[in-house]
Amino acid sequence: MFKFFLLISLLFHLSIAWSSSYDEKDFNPEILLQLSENKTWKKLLHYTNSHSSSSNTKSTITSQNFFLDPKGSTNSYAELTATLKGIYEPIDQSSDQHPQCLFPARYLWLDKQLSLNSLSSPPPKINCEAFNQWALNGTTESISVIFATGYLGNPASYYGHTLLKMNSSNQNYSSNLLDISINYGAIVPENEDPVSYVIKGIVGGYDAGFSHIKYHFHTHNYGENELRDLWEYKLNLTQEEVDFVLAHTWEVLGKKYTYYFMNKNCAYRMAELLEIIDGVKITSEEAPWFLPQTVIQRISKIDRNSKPLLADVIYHPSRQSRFYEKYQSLTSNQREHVEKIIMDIDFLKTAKFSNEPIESKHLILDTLLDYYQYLSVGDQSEDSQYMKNYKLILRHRFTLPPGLSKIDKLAAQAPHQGRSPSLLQLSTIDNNILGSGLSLNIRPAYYDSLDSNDSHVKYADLTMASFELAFIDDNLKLRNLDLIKINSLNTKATGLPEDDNSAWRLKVGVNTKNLACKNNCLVANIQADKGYTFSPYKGLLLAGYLGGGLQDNRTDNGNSFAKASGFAILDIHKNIRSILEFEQRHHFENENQTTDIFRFSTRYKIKQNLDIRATYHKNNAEEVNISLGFYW
Amino acid sequence: MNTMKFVKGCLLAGILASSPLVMAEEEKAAGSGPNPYVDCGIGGSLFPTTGWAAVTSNVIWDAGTTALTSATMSPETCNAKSVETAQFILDNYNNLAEETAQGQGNHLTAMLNIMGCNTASHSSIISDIRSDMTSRINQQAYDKQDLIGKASGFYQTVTTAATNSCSA
Repeated sequence: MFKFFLLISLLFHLSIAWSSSYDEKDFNPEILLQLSENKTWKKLLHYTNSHSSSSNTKSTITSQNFFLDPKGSTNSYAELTATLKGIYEPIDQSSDQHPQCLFPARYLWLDKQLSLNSLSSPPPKINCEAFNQWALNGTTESISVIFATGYLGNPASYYGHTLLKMNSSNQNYSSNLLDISINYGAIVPENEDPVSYVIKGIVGGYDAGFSHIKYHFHTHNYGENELRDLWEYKLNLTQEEVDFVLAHTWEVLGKKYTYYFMNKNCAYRMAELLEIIDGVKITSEEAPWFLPQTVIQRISKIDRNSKPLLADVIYHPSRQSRFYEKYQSLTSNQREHVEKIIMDIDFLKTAKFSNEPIESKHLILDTLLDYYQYLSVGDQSEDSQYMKNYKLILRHRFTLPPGLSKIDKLAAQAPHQGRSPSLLQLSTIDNNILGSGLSLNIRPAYYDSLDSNDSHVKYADLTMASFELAFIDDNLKLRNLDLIKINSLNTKATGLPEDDNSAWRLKVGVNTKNLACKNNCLVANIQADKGYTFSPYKGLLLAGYLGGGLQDNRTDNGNSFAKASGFAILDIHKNIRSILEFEQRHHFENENQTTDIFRFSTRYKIKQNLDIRATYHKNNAEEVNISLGFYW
Repeated sequence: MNTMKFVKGCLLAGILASSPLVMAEEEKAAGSGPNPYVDCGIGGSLFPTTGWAAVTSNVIWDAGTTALTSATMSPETCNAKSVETAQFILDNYNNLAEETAQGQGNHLTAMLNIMGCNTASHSSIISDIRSDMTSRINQQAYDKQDLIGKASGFYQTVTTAATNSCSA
């Protein structure tokens, strides 16, 4: 055995001696110059246009150790020649610090362009132990983009999140829970206050970077803790392309970028990793915002060599979604049993439950396990009543023979199948006080009660930075600016305790005083409501709210008001939805004054990214709008 | 940051070494082997209560290195597989317990894969785990155990069931 290792060691050192010399004369400077201008090389360096650099380009990576040349962040030629020299460096004490191991994608690409290993003086053969171990020794056979659906628990997560997953063929990693996942996010100091968080997140006040962790961390964090569904988009890539992305991902792990919430965010950076592959274009560098949903929608439309880039879509439902799936699969009798067990856990001991078939008991108990886990989010302490009941259900489950519950999978709509997230709307205005005019409404994201569908939260609202400009009587005015507008509701609620149909709304913005106002009409305000929804049958949703608001006093209505409001939404046809809304405000500082607001609106979806709406609106004046909306 | 992790790991191991868990360890069944939760400093979940900003930052620079750091503390007990298994159980305990009751599941498969168990042996190992868990979960002590206590018990059950079929 010792002789064997001696022989291996000798051969290894001989190979270094034969191959480790770098000679500039082996490489034509003109070819190197051309390569340094190659778009793939610039992508590998993460170059972007920059007026602050004499070369008009600069890397978006701010870590100096990402570059082998001191000018590497702005000079692609200098970085290319430094990389080439690095590749030929002899091995020092730690092979993992060798440029071939630090920058395996650059090495792969340069080898392909210059046929380095076919030259008379090839580079040394380096065993990159750390990289190989991380890459599961070459067993990664495919790559998936993971889309985590939006999370209303945190404003920065409203629009979802994007990850990459490296899918291994290794027998030992046959469960995808052990695959490597790649994440990108801002590096936020502990105890950062919300105001700084928002401002710094938008203006580039945080460093950011890629990290890696086993995929089960995310299935737990998103699926169990935050109750967010995960959608896996498996890509159609060759093994060479998979290896190239994997190698490049290794290069950027832990390197620092500057984080911009709006456009240079997780979605953008993940897409960039994939764009080093020829024919894959997902990002728009100049776009003012870039959303996770955009990544998967664009991926779903890319064809390369007559083959779609998207190979498969896999749904990983959250604990809450799994609970709803199981609950939908229950018969009315089984639902009754579920309710009785929740009311009195001793129902498990009754003959009525004991006489149920085994399969039925499996489904009832598994539904309850999901139910109590769903309710225990945020408080998994052993003393909580939910966890106590959970343990009793689990204990009972162990008394039954093993077996899985048979459930009907919910037909969830994949997020890439929905319309595009941003809306541009042109409207006619016909106002009985102000006259006629036109308006332009731009909503960067995401959905409202009329255009939300199963790939969002149906009938809910989530709008950020939406504004409306109106042109009436030769005057162009800002009419509305909704910084944020949320209507959070749950149309899938079972009605079981703590899974009711409660809803809430929040609105912060600057809005016109009323439809009759001509001058100085804008009023800054914040409004919040709490209410309940009710769905008497599929396709109809009724809602009622109580709430209030604070505003500046430009309306002469005081600084605060209480309000009662409600709406009815009806899906008339798969492409037609109507909403009828009513709101009455009572102004505290002017006791005799109330304001009634009424709105009726119907939306017709002409095609995926085009709709038309007709709206009647009454608020001191009456107004009719016809709106044509383009989604992009 | 890794240095801090190591220091925290050492402190945690010290605290745990003086905790009732050690008593439980001393009283464990003969042949059940050392316990990484006690001996390797796995004292905290990967999912601590985080501030709201931390949830979104979505950067976990060093999660996953806990195992490597801890593994340096006691080579006999803390080989990479045993620590990874123990951490996986801690982080996915509820899923594992439910799947054990059901007799199969992705988390069980992943755990047995970490332990290097060949696929053919999975069903018999799961059957043994289920049998032991049925006994454990019906003991009054189970209700009083915190997550680490439960995970530790499950780890012992799993390693005993997997003794002859896995390489961990």
